[in-house]
Amino acid sequence: MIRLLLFLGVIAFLCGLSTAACGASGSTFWDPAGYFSTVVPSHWRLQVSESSDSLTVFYGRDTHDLLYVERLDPVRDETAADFAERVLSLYQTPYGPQDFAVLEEPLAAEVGGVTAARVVYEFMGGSNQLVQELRYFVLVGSVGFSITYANSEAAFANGLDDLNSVLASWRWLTLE
Amino acid sequence: MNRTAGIAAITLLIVFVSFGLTFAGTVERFEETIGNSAAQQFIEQNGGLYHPPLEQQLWIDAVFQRLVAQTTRHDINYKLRVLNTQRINAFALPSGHIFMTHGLLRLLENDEHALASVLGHELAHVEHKHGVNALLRQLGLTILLELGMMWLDAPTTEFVRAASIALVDIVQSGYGREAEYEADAYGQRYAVEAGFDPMGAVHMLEHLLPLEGTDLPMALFRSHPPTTSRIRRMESGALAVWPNPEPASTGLLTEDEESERISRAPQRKDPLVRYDVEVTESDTGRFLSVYDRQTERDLDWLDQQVVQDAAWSPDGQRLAVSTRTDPGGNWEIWLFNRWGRRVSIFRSGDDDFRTPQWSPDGRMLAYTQQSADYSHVRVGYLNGSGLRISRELQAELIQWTAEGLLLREQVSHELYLIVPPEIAGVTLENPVPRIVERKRRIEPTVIRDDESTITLRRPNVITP
Repeated sequence: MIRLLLFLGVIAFLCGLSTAACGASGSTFWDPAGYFSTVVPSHWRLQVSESSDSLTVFYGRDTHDLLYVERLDPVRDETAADFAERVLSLYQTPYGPQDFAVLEEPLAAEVGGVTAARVVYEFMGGSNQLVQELRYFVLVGSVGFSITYANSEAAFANGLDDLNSVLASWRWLTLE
Repeated sequence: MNRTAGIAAITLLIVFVSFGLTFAGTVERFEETIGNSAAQQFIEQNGGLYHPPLEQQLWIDAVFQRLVAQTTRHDINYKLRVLNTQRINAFALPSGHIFMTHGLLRLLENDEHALASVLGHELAHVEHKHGVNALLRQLGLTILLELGMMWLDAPTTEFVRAASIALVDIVQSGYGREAEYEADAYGQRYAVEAGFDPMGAVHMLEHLLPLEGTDLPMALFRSHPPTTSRIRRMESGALAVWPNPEPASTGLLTEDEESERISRAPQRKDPLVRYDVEVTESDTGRFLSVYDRQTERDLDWLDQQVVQDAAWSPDGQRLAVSTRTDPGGNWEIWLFNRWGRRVSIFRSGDDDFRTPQWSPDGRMLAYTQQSADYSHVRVGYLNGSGLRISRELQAELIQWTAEGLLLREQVSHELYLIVPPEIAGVTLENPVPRIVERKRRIEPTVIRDDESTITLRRPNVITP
């Protein structure tokens, strides 16, 4: 009996451990165009009406948070850093978002084993809300990808763990 | 004496030539000075500048640069800006200042061919110096004195200001009928040479036509010739860039390949694979049979009306059907949406309109226009009139193939091919990722006061 209880206890512990790990678990998202896959935490909802063949949009549980991935083809920049620098310089023109300001200059990073450039910036959103975005620029050959987490300035930190978990499970299907 | 006269003549010639060259440069400097000064006034008088979203701005720039590459005045640095007004118009000032209004940009949506026709028209005004010539005519002799001053590098500020004001007035009231027609013709030429659709201008003007009689602030109609007259001229211009039909090299194909090539069956296949569309023959005529695979039902979209042919658009959103309402009537081309509702009568009239065939990009529909005396092949936009592309040939339409339009001459039954003008869409070489923001859903608050009264309160913002 004690052995049985002990066995059940071990099982319950392992299940608990597994549930804790599942706190960051979700469903695997396969890019419809076949470029990448990743695991998206279950509280992020795919927005089909806002997504397209080249853009995938998820809404989180906050009021302003979203996660979106865009594919751009072709991108002529030599490196992910060049890609990021060019885009940032264009965002800073009058045609870019209102009150745009770079908070963290481009830093070298990695997404799914591919070199990326990571940048944080803010701008005044459409609903007069200061929005912050953390964006990764990646080049896979001449195909550019932009992976972005956005939220209001006040709630920006809330989804950073989710973004990290999405990036940790990122796979480039075309490179496998 | 003769020698003295000769020397005098040569000296005079040298003086005139050198003065002419200097004066020509002075006119360009005059154009630049007045153009730059008027541009600032123009922006101030028209609500300032509007900055389109980055992605749209890059698209506008790409269209504009392709057109600028076709211009010939290399002394001009062309600049395009969008004015922050909802009026629908575009303007060109001397020295390369091109303006279009936010209202016009909204109207054009993402039609790059229509945008190219507008910008080509404005570039032509500058290329042909319509603005500076109109100003020279208006200011008359006073300007000669001022040009003299400018030659001496001493233009007066008052003069520049007065000339700028006059120029802004001229631009807003139009450069005159002949200049506008000339700009239409050259603008269309620039658009075609830059790889845009020659019918873009016609399409744009036809889009504007219903607005002509309304109370909208349509300054465009005050400053330009009548729209119907411009459409006729632009259609002629568009036809001029379609090549003549050439005999098709059918000898290279086997009989099977030939019959496959001229088979129209592919356009009866629903690209979205829901409907099976057939034209079936019976003792009483040909009828359209539609089978819905999803509901597994036969549908009668034409209420047992006779049909001649039917063709799905490449995107599967429209079915073009050649039909007639009574046995002795003329064939008309009707367009249906995917739910079987007729959305428009594309062509009808005293002649028969038959054999509809979509272009591979779905922008145009080709068809045969037939009467007792003639048979022509025409192509038309969904909401535009049709160009007679068979020219002098009495022909019927066989198929719109990947190589071009295949026609059959009616007397000799020889096949002819027309290769449409090459059109290249705008592809951004180095695109910029967009910034996406969460959309808000707006719903009213419903309050049921009693059994029969419901009050709706102003919308609350609800996050999806």
